[in-house]
Amino acid sequence: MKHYLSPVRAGLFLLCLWSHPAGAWAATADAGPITAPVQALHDSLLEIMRQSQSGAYEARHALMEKTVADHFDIPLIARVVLGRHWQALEAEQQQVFIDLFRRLTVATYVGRFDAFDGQSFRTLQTRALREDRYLVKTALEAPGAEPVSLDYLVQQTGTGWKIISVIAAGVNDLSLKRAEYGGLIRDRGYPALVGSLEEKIRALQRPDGADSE
Amino acid sequence: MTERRLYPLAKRWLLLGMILAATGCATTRDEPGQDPLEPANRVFFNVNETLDRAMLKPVAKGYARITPLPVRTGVTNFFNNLGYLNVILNDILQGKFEQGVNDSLRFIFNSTIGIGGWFDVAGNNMGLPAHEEDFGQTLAVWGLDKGFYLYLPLFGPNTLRDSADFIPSTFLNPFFYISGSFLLPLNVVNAINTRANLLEASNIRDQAALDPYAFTREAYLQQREFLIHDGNPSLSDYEDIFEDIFED
Repeated sequence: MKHYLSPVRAGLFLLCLWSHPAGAWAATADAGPITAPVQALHDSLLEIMRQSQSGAYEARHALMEKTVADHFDIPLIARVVLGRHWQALEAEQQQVFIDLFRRLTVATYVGRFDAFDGQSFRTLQTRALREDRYLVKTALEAPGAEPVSLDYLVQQTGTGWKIISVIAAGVNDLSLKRAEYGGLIRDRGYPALVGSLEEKIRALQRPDGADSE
Repeated sequence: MTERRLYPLAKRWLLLGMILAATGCATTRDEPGQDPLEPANRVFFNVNETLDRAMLKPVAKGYARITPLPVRTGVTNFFNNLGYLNVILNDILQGKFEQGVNDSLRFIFNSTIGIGGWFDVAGNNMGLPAHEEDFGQTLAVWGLDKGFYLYLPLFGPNTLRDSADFIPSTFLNPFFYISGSFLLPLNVVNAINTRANLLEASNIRDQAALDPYAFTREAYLQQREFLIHDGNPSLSDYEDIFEDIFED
């Protein structure tokens, strides 16, 4: 019985991002211009994982801040996440939301990749979806654990190739957030969404995590 | 004895009927994110979460703290192996004959050399990894739509289609055909061990989700699609979300 007593099974895909048995550390694959943003993200994630015991939180945060700014198209992602609600916002509000979403992305990465147990990333294949958009399939591996698939959509922008979507073990972070945010706006209004996200960011930035047990 | 074991099955379908009645049997067209039973689902979700926080999660945490990892792995392997006949059946029903042969060998080796499934010798030493197949995936491969999303008490996230897996997974579990007082404690151990395996995942979900109900639903539905396509969903699925932005 697959779903037997597992009210939280849906979160399983994130489990493997969390901890793995110790093991070897593999070399990274080659980086063309299309896979470059993915490569850069993975390099930074390994860096903050390895610094998690010794390095200061601020230093890891600063590294991720730069990585996200350089290699993600956050304005596009923010717009897709809000869906039809985006149009209802004033230009100024849109800017505020973009900034909020950028801070959430950074805080989430720093909060989640907070231990190094021999993980490595492997780029598996790159497929063109159209001329200016590619799918980059990768895997997060660790000895003694099932690999977790991490797929990225990478799009050509005015400032180079940028990540526009992350899909972990088949779960698209954008669709997930869009459904969640849409429901929250519908039930409690846009200001409540902003409040909740601010609260999330604060919780993620608290030392030792929000509710680690 | 058989009557007694059939009881949970009957109870589950009765419950399904009650949910449908309570919501006016709202079957609607399949749209992403659609959840016609949401009010009822949310009630059951909250009941589950409350029971989990009050009972199952604390017990699972205690179990995880005192149980050595090899024992936990053994328990997990044992129960996975018991459910593996259902995987083999669904390999075959989906026309994956080679995988069906490999999974049969996996079941035979793990049940014997692996001492009743305790050791995953097939996966670790023979190059016969575990596969994840069930009757819900088979029905999807046969072209059946997922139907509406369903959050069941105790069983958690599901869809109308996926809930059909209850029948083969029950009848193909060897435990169904034996009886004895040891079954209850074994089921309890299975529940606690399963929950213990999900402790980190549930903590991360609680940390990431603004709305845990919606988060669970979206993640479940997407992960099912991923499993149905064996990890290679159609390329358009990746892009659908950008359509309304780039098309107009």
